[in-house]
Amino acid sequence: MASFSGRRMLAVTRKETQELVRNWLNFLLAIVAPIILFFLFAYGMSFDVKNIPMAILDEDRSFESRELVDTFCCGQIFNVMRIVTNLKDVETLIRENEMRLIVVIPSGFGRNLRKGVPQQVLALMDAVFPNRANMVGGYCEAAISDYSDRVLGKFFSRTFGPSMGSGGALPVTLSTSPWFNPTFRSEDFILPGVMAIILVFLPPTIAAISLSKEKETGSILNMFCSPISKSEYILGKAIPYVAITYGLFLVFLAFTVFIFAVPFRGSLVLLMIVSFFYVLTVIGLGIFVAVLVKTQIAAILLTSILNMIPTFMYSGFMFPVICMDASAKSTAYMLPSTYYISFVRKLMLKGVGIEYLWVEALILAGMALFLFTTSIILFKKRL
Amino acid sequence: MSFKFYTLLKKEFLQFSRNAMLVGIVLYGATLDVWMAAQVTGDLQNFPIAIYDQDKSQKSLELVSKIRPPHFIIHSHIDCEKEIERLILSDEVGAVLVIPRRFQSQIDSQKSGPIQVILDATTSNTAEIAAGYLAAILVDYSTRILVKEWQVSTVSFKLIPTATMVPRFCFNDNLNDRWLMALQEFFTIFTLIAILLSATAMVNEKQFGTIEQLMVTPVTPMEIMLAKILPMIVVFLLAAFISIYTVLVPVLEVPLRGSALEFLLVTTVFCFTSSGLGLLVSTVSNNLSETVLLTLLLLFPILFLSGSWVPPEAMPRWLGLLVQLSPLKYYLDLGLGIFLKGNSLAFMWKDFASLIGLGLVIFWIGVVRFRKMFG
Repeated sequence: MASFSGRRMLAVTRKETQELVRNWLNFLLAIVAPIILFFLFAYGMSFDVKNIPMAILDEDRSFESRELVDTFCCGQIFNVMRIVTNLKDVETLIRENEMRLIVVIPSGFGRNLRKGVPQQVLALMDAVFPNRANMVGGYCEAAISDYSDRVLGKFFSRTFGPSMGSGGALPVTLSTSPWFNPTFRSEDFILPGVMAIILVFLPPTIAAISLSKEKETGSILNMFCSPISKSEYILGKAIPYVAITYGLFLVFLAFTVFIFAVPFRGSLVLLMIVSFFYVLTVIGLGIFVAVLVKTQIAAILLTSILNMIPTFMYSGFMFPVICMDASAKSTAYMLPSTYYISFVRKLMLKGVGIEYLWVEALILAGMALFLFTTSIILFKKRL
Repeated sequence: MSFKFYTLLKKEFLQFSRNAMLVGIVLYGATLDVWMAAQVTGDLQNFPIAIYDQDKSQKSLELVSKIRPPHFIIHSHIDCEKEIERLILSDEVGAVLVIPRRFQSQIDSQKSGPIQVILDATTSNTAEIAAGYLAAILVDYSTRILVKEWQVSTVSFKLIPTATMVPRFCFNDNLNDRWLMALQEFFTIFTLIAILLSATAMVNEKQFGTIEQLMVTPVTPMEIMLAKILPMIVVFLLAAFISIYTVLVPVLEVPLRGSALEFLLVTTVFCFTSSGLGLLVSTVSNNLSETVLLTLLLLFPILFLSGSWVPPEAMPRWLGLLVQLSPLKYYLDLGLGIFLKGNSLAFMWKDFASLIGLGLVIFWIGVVRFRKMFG
């Protein structure tokens, strides 16, 4: 076997780059599509709840019940669309997707409160989206207990005089110290993940298509009868995609820090180095798939559809890996994105150094090395 | 049905069924993929927490015993300040609970005092939920102390005018989020596969030049497009059927409260609409790389606008209007309505009519563009 020639490798790179750039629509999409998706994900994954469409069934129609209705009417969280009087009507509203929350104030509410009898307010929620229902329930409970506190305050000052507030404190209370993200900003959690997800989702597909296209259309025969070696060909072909993907990483990093104001507390150099390993891994993944399969459509389906659910659900992008059970964890630890997301979050948000990050860095480097070596070994330079 | 169309249809069916990979990926999407999506939940589970008990008294042990699975897992007991930092920095635990030294004596002397919990807030949402659960555990514990040890009578509590909320979660009383995860993934993967497969099938004909051969046959562009779509719809329906009766209902225990037949009908219309979108993509792109990128560029806005990530009411007003253009929105509302709410199609006729209307418009635009290119 001939020794490795950088000149031959770069010739492949030049050809691949020209092919990529000359097809302007493809080139534009390869750069613009990931950026558009980045913004969609960054804005789309935020967990904000507001303007919850709700109805109130006021069976009491007293001064107190109207006061409670007013608590819901002010603020951004609830959007009181109707105040109804008929219970049968109420359930249909949830069934039709018109309302997410219906609050029922029972008759006698005001009279009983004045007498000092505790009252219960029924809250019907559309639980088709359980997490949303949970949050809506939380906000609703807060609104009602807010009102309750006011009633209680009045009651106490009436009975015990104005010095008494809203009752004594509980014996044990919880004081929380949220480290690294005191306001629980969801952007800090989501954005490092978005960066990793998009890099593992689009570039491997494009790289895989470029190689499998040559196999499917037969243009790879030119390579078979040339003096180029397998490693020169594979590496030469990967270089332009690695360059584009690394460029995308830099752009995403800038967006994350400057537009979404995610704190950056670690070492930039370390991030640049390990991100390079990650970029190599994702492109290696695409090349690896393309070496294994015969057609473009197969390469597309494997790199996009088969890749999608594991990456979204198991990589820690949405749910932390430490909370998964053993079988989910074993899936998570097979994915390069799991290590990269953990690496970026620790580096950017916790600001730790290499002593806490070397495992992730080593694994990513190992994965890149493994994918390229096996691709070169399995790739056949003959029919 | 004319003989010409029948022959073309036969060709498309043969072509599709011979590609085992395509049939395989549709089946994978409908079964394993949906199952996998339902395995991870957003509900707090197995949250690893370390305990730094400085008091080591009976009271503190009692409190720690309240922190239990399924929500929490006690990762370890530590006894120095430095350990806290190491455990949190290395992502081993999500939180550390610190019980102060004079915890028991304070309770015995009827004084109130706080307990500190250190959270790894880099996992914003999860950390917040965990803090909520911990707070609830403490309130529970506190109330018991109030009643049993501090002898604050429960009777006096009953005569205080308070208003409390009684929640009723309609259609999913236990807030089991696996149902939604599975169904959402089902809807999403069908959208993706339907657009991608129809687009790539057409682009492949373009790339290999066989489309010219099709154009000189006596079939109309409309017939060519229909013949491309029909085999896929048949495979999708089969996959949907298999998915409902082997994964969704028996394994994941998603309740099917409405009619399966109506759901399959909605699925047919939706696949028709999505395939129309795929054909539209194929009239724009020239190679498969472009096709994939365009498909994904189309898919994620459709997903985003469907309301499955963010509820439509939380979006800005102009986006809220665009929501009406996402076919997935109607499929989601109809599908979730049939499965979880047990609604009938007659009840949701507006959504169904919109889905059909949107499908016809998309398909019509596809045919017009197709004619312009080759006619």
